[in-house]
Amino acid sequence: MGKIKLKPKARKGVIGIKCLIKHPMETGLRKKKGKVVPANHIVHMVVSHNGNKVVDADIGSSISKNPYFKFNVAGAKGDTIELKYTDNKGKTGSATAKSK
Amino acid sequence: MKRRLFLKSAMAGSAVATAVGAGLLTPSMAFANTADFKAVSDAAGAASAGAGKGSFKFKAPKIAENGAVVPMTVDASKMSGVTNISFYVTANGTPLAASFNLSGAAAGYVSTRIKMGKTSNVDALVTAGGATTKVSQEVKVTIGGCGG
Amino acid sequence: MKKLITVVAGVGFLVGAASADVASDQKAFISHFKSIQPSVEFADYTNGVYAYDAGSRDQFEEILDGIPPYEEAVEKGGAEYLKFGLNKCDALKDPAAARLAHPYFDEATQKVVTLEGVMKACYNKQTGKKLGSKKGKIARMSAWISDQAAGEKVNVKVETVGAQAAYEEGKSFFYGKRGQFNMSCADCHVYNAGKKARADILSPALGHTTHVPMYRAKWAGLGTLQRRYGGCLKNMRAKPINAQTETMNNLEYFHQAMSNGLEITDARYRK
Repeated sequence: MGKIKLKPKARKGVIGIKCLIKHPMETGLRKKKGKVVPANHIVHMVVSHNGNKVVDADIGSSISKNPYFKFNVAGAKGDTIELKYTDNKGKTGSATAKSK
Repeated sequence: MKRRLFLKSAMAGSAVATAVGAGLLTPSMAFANTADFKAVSDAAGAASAGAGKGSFKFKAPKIAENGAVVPMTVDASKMSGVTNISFYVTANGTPLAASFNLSGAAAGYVSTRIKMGKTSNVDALVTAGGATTKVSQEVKVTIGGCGG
Repeated sequence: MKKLITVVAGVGFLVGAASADVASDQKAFISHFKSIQPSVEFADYTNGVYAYDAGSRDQFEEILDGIPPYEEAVEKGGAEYLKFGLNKCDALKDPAAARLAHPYFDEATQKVVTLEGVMKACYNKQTGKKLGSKKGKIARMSAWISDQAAGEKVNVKVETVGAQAAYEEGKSFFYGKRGQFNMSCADCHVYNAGKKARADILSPALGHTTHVPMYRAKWAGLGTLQRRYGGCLKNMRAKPINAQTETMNNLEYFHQAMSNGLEITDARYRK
């Protein structure tokens, strides 16, 4: 659906992974001009560190629009972080970044 | 309305699967969350009810600046073997905001921003070594405000 | 005006005719805020209301510490600044200088010129099209331009007779009662700053313009200072006034001058 800002930063053996995904996160309960805006939100997300899955998340529609997450993973500068998500319509998005 | 009653009365997962298979319901059509997710939410509710008090840090505002974007953080970094962190907003339509399964090198730490429809108690749930503990806090949500 | 005299008289500030001395007005302003919140330092006012309330400051810092929701929009503003050729206009080719130079009083036209005003004129010159004054492109580009001056101090000059007159007009507007509630900007943002109006903590006027254009959670987007003026007039059930008109520009001139000496910041998140 949208762009992903992925910012992993290593400090003292821990990589702080900040991510902001552009996604409307419509609950399917909101009305605009009398019509219901259909549900359109991320349902699943996986974060990997050097190819190993570290976060496997079930995401609900009450996560804010343009979801923001921060995780901490033991690691070092140069490690690879990958984020993949799927939304309720089956659309996917992904991003990869090397930790600073 | 009808669809929700239909779901409630039947076994969540299977009923939706049947309806989808029969072409009666397409996933994007109906609900706030999929039936699978609602089942996860119900399970989280049950876990919360039975959870003992957690010793981890849960940070959420006492009065949210804006109900659409309430920042929340669980820091259970000091606990070992954390396998799941979940945020359960009691007064939300589907209380579970998200459930994060953690593995490998991940620390027991999650920070995110959640939508809250109204003032509610929020349960931060941490599962480690098979046991779930919780830290709860009320977050007040106000509507309206200055600025047009 | 009466209230101003009774409240501010204590600080030894006389609202006489044509006392258009920005420095002494600002000194009185600062004294007033010091008296209502003694523990807040002048420099802290860059973050306005967040200098007053710990609970909301926590949320402000959480949001900034994460990835600010306006980050992408501001980056886009930078791209748009180049795309639409704003860098080709003299007034805007050095963005940091542009932010610092505005608003100013133009002797030739005898009018206050704002940053957004100059941007609109330039955009029109470069593209032949009109640019809005409140949100979208203008807010993004103005936010990017303002970012370039982050860390510098607001420095509005009011030096000539014409400038002083415009400044006084803006000041009168700020302290004048209007709308169905018969309230002035000062009622909330000076005399009652820090107190609550329903569920909102009233922000102090000191520091109001360090972080404009701002991202408001309520708008879920960026907006210019004059977008905010419009929203407030609406809330106060006062007669609407179009952005970038003389009244609004004079108000901005006074308003920005009251933040002289405060650091311009790129932390543009507000409730």
